[in-house]
Amino acid sequence: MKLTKLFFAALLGSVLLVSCDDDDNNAINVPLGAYQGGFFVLNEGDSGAGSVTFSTYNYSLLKQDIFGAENDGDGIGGYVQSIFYNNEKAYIISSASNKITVVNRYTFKLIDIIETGFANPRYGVVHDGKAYVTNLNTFADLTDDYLTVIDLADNSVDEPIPVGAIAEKIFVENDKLYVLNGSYGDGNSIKVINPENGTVDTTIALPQSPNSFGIDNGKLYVLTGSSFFDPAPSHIVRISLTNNTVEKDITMPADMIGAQNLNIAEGGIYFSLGNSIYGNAITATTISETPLFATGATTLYGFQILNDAMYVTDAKDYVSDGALFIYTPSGTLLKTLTTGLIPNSVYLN
Amino acid sequence: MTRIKLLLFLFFVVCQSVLAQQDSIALKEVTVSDVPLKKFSTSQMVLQLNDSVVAKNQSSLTELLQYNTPIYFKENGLGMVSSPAFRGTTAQQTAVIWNGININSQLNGQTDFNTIPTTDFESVSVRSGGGSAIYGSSAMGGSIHLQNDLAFGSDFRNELHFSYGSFETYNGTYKIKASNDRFNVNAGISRNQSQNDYDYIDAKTERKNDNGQFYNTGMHAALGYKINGSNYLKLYSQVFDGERHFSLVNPSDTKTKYRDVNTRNLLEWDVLLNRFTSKVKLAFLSERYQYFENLGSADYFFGEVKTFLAKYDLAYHLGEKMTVNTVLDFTQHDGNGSDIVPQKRQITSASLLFKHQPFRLFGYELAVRKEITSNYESPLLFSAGTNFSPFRWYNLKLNVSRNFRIPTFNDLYWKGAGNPNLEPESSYQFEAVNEFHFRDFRLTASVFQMQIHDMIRWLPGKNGVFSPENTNSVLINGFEGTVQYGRKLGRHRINFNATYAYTDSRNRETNKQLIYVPFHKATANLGYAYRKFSFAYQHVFNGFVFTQSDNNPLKKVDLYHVSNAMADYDFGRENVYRFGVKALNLWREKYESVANRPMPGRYFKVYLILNL
Repeated sequence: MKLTKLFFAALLGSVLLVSCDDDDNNAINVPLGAYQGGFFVLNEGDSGAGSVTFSTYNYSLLKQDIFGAENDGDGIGGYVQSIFYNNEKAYIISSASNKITVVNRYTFKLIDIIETGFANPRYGVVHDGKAYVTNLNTFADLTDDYLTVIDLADNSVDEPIPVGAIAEKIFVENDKLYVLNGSYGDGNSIKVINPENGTVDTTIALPQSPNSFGIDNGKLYVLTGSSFFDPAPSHIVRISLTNNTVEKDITMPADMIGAQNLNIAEGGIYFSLGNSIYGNAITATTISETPLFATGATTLYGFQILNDAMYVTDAKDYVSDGALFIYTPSGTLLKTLTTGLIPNSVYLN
Repeated sequence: MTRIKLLLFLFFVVCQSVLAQQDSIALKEVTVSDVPLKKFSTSQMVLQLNDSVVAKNQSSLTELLQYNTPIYFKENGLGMVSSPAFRGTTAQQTAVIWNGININSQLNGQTDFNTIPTTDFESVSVRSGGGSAIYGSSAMGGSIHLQNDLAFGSDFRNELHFSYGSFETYNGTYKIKASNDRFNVNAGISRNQSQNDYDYIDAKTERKNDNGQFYNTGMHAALGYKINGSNYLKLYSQVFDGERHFSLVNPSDTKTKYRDVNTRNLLEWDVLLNRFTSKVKLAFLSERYQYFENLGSADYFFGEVKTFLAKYDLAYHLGEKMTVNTVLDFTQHDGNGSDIVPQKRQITSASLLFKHQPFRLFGYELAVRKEITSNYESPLLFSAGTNFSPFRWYNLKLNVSRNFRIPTFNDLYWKGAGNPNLEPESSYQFEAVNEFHFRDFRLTASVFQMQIHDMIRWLPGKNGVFSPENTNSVLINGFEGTVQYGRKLGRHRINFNATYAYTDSRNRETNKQLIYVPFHKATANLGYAYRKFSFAYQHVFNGFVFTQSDNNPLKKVDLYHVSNAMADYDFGRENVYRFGVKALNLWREKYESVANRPMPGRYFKVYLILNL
C-alpha cells in the first residue's frame, strides 16, 4: 500500500497554468491583501497535508504555510496538486482529500470548501462561469476518469462529464475543453470536449502518454513520454488547434527518455530532463541532446517559465523541505528559496 | 483454510476424548521449536514476556511491546499499520520469528505488529541486537520471538476470554491445552473487532476517527506426539484473516481498506540421541494482501507469496560444556501480485553454531552463516560473543555480529520500478550488556553501536519513477537500561519493571537523526496484588520524533506520556475466574504516534476470563 502511494507520489508535478495570466494588465494601486505582488509555491506534501509558500517578487518576504497562518492552523488537505484562479479567488485542489479549498488570493482567508464530486482531483480550468476539474478516479481503472463541473456563482457541483480516458491536465481553447489523457506513462490521446453538452468532439491520437503542453500562435505543443515498462525517447507533437490534427511529431534522441515540463517562451520550446533544462527553437525539427544548463536541484520536480524567469522546484528526498530555484532564461541563478514538502508548481499573484 | 479448520476440529475432538480420562498432574516436559533463543543467546539480552504479561496487554503485539520494551512503535492511529524501530533501525530491520521461523513479509520486508494476535502465543521474547547468523534476514536491530509451548504430561485446560470496550471493541478467545505423556494439543481461536470510531480529543471541530474499523480472526494449533523416548513429531499451525479500513486523515479522503490472510504451518521431527539432536523441519507459509483503493469500487491491488522451507538441524554435544550445531536450510519464495512481476526465488543457506562454557563463570559462542542465492550477493554473517560472570551478582555479555536485510519482492520485482541489482542492507553491531542481580532486583545496562551500509531507499530515477537503490549508511549509538523487581510479602505481591532507551541514529552523510526514531523512550509497569485482587499501572514516555529527514524542528511529532491502569478480581472456588477493568490513556493525553493521526483519549475495557 505504502509503495502504491509512494509510486503515485513520485510523479512529476504540474506545470502549466492556463488561467492565471490576465490580471497583470489591470492597474491596481490599492493593495488587495498581504499576498499581492508575489508568487505562491504549491507544496504537494504527503497524504495528510500539503501547504502553500509565499514570496514577494523582490524576495524580501518568504512565508511558509500561509493558509495555516491566515486560517487558524487549518490545512488544505493532502497531496495538493494545483491551483486555479477565478477573479480574486484561488481554488486549491487536494488530490488525496478530494476537496477544493477556495480562498481569497490576496488575503488567503478561507471562503469556501468544496468536498463533493471529487475522486483524486488534479487540475481545473475556468470557462464561462464554470470550473472544470479533472479527476483520475480509481487508479486501477483508466477509463472511469471524469470532470467535476462547478458553478462558480455559488460553488455548487453539477453533473460530472465522463472523459472515457485518463483525465489529467486541462485547458480551454475555442470554447472547447482539451483534456490530456496521460498519467504516469499510461494513456496516449487528447479528448476535445464540448462543455455545453459534455460530448467528446474529437480524440487526438498521440504516439505516447502526454505529460505537459504549451500553446503558441494557434498551435498546441505536447510533450509525451513512454510507458515505464517499455522505456523509449520522448516526443514533441505539434497539433493545429484550428482542426485538431497532428502536424508534426519529433522523436527525441535515443537517450532522452522521460522528458517533462514543456514550456513555450520567447520562440523556444523548453523542457526538463533529469535535473537539467533543455531548449530548442520552436521551429526546430530535431531536439538537441545538449542541455541549456544543469539546475541546482537534487530532484527536479516542477519547471515553469513565467514572466521571463525560470522557476525550478526541487523535491529533494521527498521527506525534507524542498527548494525553489529561480533562473534567468540563460540559466543564471537569481535566487534560491526554501519551500515546504515536495514543491510542485509556482503561481504568480 | 477449510482443510486447516478440519484438522483443528479433528484434533480437538480426538484428543479431548483421549486425554479427558487423565487428571493427575505429572512432571512437565516442555519443548519449544525455537531452541537457539535459549541455547545460542547467552551473549545477548533476551527479555521474556510471559503469559501473565501477555494477558495484561491483550489486544495486539504493538500494545504489548510498546508498554514493556524499549522498542519504539509508529502507529497510523489505533489499530492501524504499526511498524517498529528497534535500536534506531527501520521496520524492515526487525525480524519476527514464529516458532523459530522468520515470518516477516517477503513483499515489504516487515511485520505489521497490529496483525499479530498475542493470545495465540504462550510467550513472547525480545532478543536485542544482531541475530542474522541464526535467524536470517532482518534480525539487525533485534528480533521478536513468538512461541507456542508443547508440554507433555497429563493436563487438560480450557480458557475462555471475553472483553468489551469503548468504540464497540470486542475480543473473544478460546484456548485449549490437553496433553498426556505422549500427545499434546495446544490450540485456540480468537476474534477481535472494533468500530474504532473514537473522538479526536480537543479537536477544533468535533471529529471522530472515520473509517478506522477492523476485524480479525486468528487460529492456532500446536500438536505434539512423542513417538518414543527419542522421537518427537510436532506440528504448528496458525491462520490470520483480517480486514482493516484505513482511517482518514481528512474527512473527505478516499476510503480504503486492506485485507490480510496469512497461514503458517511447520512440521518438525526431532530425534534425541545420546550426543546428537537432529531436527527436520518443513514449513509452508503463505501471505496475501488485498488493497482496496476506493471502497466504492470492487477493484483491488494484491500481492501474495508462498514460502516453502526445509531445514535440517543437527547438534552434537561434546560433553555438557560444548555444543556444535549445523543447520542446512532451503527456502523457496513464490511471489505474485498486481504490481509485481511473478517470480520464484530460492535461497540455500548453511550455518555453523558453536558454544563452549569451559568454566561456570565464562563461556563463549560463535555462529556463522552463509546464504547462496542468485538474487543478491550475500555477505558472510556471523555472531561472536562471550558471557563472563565474575560474581554471583554480575554478568557481562559482549557480542559482535554482522547482519543483513535482504531486498524484498517489492524492491526487486515491482513492475517498472523494481531493481534486480540490489544488494542486501548489511550491518556490523557491537554490544555490551551488564546484568546485575541484587536480592529481588534485576538490572541491566547495555550499550551498543551499529553501522548499517547499503540502506535500500526508493528514490526517483529517470522518467520520474521511484526505484529502490542501495544508498545511505547509518550510524547508531545507543543505551538501554532495564529494572525488574518482584517481592512477595505474605499475601501482598508487588512487582515493578521499567525500561529506558537512548537512541542516536544518524544518516552518516547528513548527520541527521533518522525520521520516526525518538532519542528517548521509557516504560514503567507497577503491579500489586493482595489475595484475589490485583492492580496494575503502566506508563510509556515517548520522546519527540522528526518527520522530515532534514530534521526541521517545526516538523516533528511531539513527545507523549500515556498511562493505563487495570484492576481485576479472581473468583470461583475450584476454577479461577477473573473479572477485570482497564482504563487506557488514563490521563487523557492528546497525542499522535504519526503526524496527523490522532490517538484516542481515555477509553475503557472490561474483561472476563474463565478457566474451565
